[in-house]
Amino acid sequence: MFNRVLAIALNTFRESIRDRILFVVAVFALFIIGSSLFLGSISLDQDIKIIKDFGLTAIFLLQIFIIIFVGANLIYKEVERKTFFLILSKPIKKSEVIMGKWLGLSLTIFLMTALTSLMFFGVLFIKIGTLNGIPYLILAILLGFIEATLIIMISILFSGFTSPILSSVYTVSLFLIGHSSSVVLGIIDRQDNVIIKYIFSVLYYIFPNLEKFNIRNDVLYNSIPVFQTLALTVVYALAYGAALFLIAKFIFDRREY
Amino acid sequence: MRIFFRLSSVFQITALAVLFLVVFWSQTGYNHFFKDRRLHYPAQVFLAPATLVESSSFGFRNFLADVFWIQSVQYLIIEGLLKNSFMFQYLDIVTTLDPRFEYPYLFANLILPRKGSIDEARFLTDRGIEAIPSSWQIPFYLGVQYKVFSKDYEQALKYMNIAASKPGKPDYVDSLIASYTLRSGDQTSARELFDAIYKTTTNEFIKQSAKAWIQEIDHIGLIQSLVFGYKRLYGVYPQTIDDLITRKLIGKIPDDIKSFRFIINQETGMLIIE
Amino acid sequence: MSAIEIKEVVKTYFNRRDSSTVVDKLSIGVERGEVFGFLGPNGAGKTTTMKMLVGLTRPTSGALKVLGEKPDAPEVKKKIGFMPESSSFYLYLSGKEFLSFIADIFGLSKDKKEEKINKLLHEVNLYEARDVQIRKYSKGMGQRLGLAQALINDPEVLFLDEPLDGLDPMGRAEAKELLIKLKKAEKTIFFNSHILSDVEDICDRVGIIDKGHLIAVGTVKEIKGDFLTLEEAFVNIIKKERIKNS
Repeated sequence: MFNRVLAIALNTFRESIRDRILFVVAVFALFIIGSSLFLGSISLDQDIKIIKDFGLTAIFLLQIFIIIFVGANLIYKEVERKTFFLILSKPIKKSEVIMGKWLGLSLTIFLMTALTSLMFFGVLFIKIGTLNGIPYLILAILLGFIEATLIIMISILFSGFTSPILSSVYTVSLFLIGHSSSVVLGIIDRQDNVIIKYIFSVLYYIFPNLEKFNIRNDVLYNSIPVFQTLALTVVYALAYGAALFLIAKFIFDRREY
Repeated sequence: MRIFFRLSSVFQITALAVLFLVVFWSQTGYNHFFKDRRLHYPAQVFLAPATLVESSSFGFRNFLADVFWIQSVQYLIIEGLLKNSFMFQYLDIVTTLDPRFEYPYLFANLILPRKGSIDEARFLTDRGIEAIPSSWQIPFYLGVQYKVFSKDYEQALKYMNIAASKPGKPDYVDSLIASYTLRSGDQTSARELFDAIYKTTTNEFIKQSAKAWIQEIDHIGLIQSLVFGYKRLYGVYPQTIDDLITRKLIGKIPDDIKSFRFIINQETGMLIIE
Repeated sequence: MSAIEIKEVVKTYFNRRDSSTVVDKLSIGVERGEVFGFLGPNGAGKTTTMKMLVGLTRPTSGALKVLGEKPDAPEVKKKIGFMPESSSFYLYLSGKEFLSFIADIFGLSKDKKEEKINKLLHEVNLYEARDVQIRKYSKGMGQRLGLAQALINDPEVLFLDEPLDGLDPMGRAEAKELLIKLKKAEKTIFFNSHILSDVEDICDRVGIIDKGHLIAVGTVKEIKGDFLTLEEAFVNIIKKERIKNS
């Protein structure tokens, strides 16, 4: 089974790496990093902070954009081009295809992340002359990457039953909702109506809470969350990801082609 | 319409040129009026409230904080010091998004009191003190501004004391506290403070400075008692310090307090130092 | 055991507002080593039938068997080859990379893979273009690649959906040659087509389907009857059936 998953993964990787969009997104990310050098100079000596913030954000945005532009098309293009029929007529299960696609896109994003991170660290090193603080930055980028893999699964899930445009819209919406958990909590606290409170609480747990993967604020001030929170974050990612996988499998199994 | 197209092209081109001149003239005229307006009223009319920006930050808090920070620096240059400018709102947004970003708090304390809103500076400073417990600069700057701009020694002392409790504070914070105490009228406490500084500091300059302050306070004390003496002799308090000299209670005002402006409260006889 | 069994198969698609029955009580049997041509106008249900035969979709009622098993069983999928209609593939892969990918899904060992791919590329005349990206292939080249990928696992039964579509006369001749070679190797071939002259040359038997119903089945000779070409016979049969039903 692993070999088949790997075959799909490598194929997905190859296909997405060659997508021109990647080049555009990478240039965009490097532009942000580059502009941080300029903006740093007009920020009243806050340039180190600006470079770090912009760099981390650029890498994160790169990940998100790749998922939205490339991921949405992954499954849809296959169905449209009938390569999906081709694959499924071979001795391979739908779950293996899903796993393979997820793995392939994750590999692509990992590579792009690594490349942009190296450029980012390079720029930082030139500016501050030491490698201090980089391990913390790596941790922040790593957590962001884990979040990205969750969003990949979400994107695959949606692309299994809607067009790329709608799939992108849903994925982006879920991303925004995922980062608004504190707002939802605020609503829950201020609600007097028990029923509404209950409904919102359920929604709070069903929708992904993505802010926990964001330690970009902390690493800038050289602090990281305690080990327990990080461990819980990873557990959350594994559990939620597995749940998404099962839902995706369910959707794909029921679909008529 | 048809007639227009029949006319010679020369006429058409001339007409076009004239129209362009009118466009150019009216635009420059508009800009001219607009420029005058800009000096008096801020042109920017909308900035989202901090809570809204925070709710829409979606995991990009630091990045947005930086973006708004850079914007606020530019804004300062253009119209930040005008009466109704958005300077406070900008800094509110930046510090809401990234409470541990120290510089905006200092910036707020430097800029906002100057345009008349020290309360806004205090609002941000309180947030900064809570978010960055290790910073002595944040309360320190505000303390100084309270003394300089509103002569509110009570608030100045409050924030100076907060600054004094932080690690890494420079030695002269204690001296400032002592001098503010003096200015607020509490000479006894001020003398005690300066005495403590004199005994504990390792900085030679500060030691000498404290000694000088103590001498000044003693001299002020001397003047105060002379004022009371004057009352016992003549039944009223002197109008000014110079009366003490004219009535020969003292030869001259000691050098180190010569520059102080003293006001004698005619009911209580207490000296008030300007 | 026959190679392919279709028994009273019905396929209905249920939409939000209505339903459409695409295949209605279809029954066909194909023996091993036979070449069976499945003919019909567009929309008759040929592609849907083929989808059911390769396990992409399940019948609403009735049963299908390929090599004695249900088509979606993995053991069956290892023994069949499928070429979808107007194949378009992963455009950014080269022909060779694509075949390598398919071979990986079948789990072919590395050396066997290399050998097989090269052999196939030569057979379909794509060896020179093996490192060219598929998006630069002509329609004919795409069809040939489609045929090649269907043969990677040495299937016993081949399902081809419009294999000769879009090929120029040279291409058609080469493809037919390949199919005849496969027939001699005792492969079972089930294919959809509407290029009836070619069907005539290769098939043992044909079946004609219209609007989901099987309206004729038999050897080429039987179907042709008194008509000169299969095409004339086909048009005639369809017309008669439609008049009967209106």
